[in-house]
Amino acid sequence: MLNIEFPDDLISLSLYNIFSSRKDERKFIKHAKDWNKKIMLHIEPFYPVTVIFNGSNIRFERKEYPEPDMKVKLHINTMLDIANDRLNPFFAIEEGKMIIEGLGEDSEKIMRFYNIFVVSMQMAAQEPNVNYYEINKNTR
Amino acid sequence: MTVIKQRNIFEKISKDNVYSKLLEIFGSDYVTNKDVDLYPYSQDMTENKPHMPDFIVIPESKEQLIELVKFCNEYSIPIVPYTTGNNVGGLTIPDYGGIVVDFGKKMNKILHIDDNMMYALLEPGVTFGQLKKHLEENYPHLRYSYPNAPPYSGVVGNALLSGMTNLGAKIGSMADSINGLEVITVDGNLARIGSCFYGKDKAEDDSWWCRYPMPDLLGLFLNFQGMTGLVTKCAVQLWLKEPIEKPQLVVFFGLTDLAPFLREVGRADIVNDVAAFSVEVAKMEVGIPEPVRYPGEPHYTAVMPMAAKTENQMNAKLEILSNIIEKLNKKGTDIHLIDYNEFAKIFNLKALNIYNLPSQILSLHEYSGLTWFGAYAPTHKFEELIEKTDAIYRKHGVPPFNYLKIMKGGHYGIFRPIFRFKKFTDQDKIVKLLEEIADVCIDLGCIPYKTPSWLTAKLRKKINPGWISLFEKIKHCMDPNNIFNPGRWNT
Repeated sequence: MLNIEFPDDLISLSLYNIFSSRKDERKFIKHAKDWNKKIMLHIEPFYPVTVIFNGSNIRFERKEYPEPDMKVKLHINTMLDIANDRLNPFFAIEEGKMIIEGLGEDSEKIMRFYNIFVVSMQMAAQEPNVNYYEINKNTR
Repeated sequence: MTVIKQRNIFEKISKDNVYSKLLEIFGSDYVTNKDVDLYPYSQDMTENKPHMPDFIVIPESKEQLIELVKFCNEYSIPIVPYTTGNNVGGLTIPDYGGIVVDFGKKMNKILHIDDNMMYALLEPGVTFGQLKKHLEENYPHLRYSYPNAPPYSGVVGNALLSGMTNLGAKIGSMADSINGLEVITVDGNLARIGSCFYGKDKAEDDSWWCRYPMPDLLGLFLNFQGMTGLVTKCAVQLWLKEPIEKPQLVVFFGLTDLAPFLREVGRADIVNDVAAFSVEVAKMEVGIPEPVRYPGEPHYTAVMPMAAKTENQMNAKLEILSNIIEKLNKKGTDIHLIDYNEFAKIFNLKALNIYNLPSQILSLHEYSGLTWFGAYAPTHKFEELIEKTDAIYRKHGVPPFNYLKIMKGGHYGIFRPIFRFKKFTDQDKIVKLLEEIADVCIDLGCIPYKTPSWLTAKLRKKINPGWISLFEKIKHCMDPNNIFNPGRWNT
């Protein structure tokens, strides 16, 4: 079981939406739990958001963290192309449409990033999170 | 607390005798004078002062209504038409008491759908949800046009009051889409207006296809807020549903970037509608209780229904749209185009409520109060309207909730600041803000629609005396005893 903090900015809300549909899924928990990394995601033309994985918690900060473990930059339309299977994420990197810093040769990091971000986006695009009345019930 | 204005409407006849007459016309199951029944009709979501009616009647035929109107005219008893009470202008609050005629319960039939000439003949109580369901089940190739309003709001009231819908960029005001009316005037005369005017007693169902070229008497009933007669039938146009739909989302990072975009996209004739909201509205829609805009977020977002007959036609429209954005961005705007359906799946499916109309935007209705300054607006003043209202919102510490549209191929626009509020705690604050915004917008040439009487009082100070005089003459001629929804437009 993961705790995902409910954010109040547009980009974090999107990330919350796609993560929360998988928060009880074993595979997602396996990758996200205890990752303890700070991933900075800049979806253009919007603003950078840092996703902080800490134990069983995921939270969002509306800023560029000083030393994130990874920096990912892509345009919203590239993100939608990847999510909707029109663009292979590896080609997106190769073509410079998705710029990733800090990936290195760490295969576990690549695997976790791919599963947490890319797979979740693709799943949300194919099977949207219909629990939209549930996601904020504790904040009302 | 419901306030009762002092006006003796029972000078010519006792209240008991009125009640007896109503029982005679409508039957005991469809008349009430009990406070518990009257109370819901005494108020609406807005800041407008409540007032109790004396009776509620539920009609089922024009014969009943003709008898009612004759009776009320003889004894000067006010009649207030009511369908679902969802107008945001206090328009069905019976300011002087009298009889509220609730069309929503029994006079709510879809009388005819004309597939060939594409119109629907409706009784006044038909709702948007009802019409949409009926068309989808029986005429899936036809569509009506729907507002950002709940499915249980009324079609006829919206059209008669110049509401706007998700075909606004193409067809403009919904009043323009009315083909014909059947109305009861104050003397109990039943008149059919439009191409249905042939025939002594009855019009054929297939005769409600146009409102021209005879003198257009329809204007006597449009935007009069029920002050000139009781509408008992209304024919509204329908349109062919285009098979390819690709709604687009546009985000605007500069405060006034939206203004030139609306003007350009309107005249390009490529979109069905542009529903542009302050970003705070988009955030509210997905459940942020007190939304604020953060740096880096766009000031405005616009949802644009786009439809085409073929993929090629859609691609051509999208190309024109991209070119408009590119051209504007070269001049300094910061505008971006995103596929709306795809974005909503990632962002939150609730966002589709703004596109799949009619819909209940729950967060807009979650407080006890809802009001607006809804106005037709000159599009060359959009920048000033956005900037000046933004400053007022800031001064009052209220997040901007603006809603803009371009109408009828760019001929005019809509500017609509919306406020949800807690009636018993925030109303005074919101009314102050609303009045300030209304003054600024009216000074910039905006003309409010579905206008509450406190606002028409402001308008009267600015309208040319010739118009006021003509308006009063018409009202007096149509309703000499002021029985039809008295108080509206300060009559």
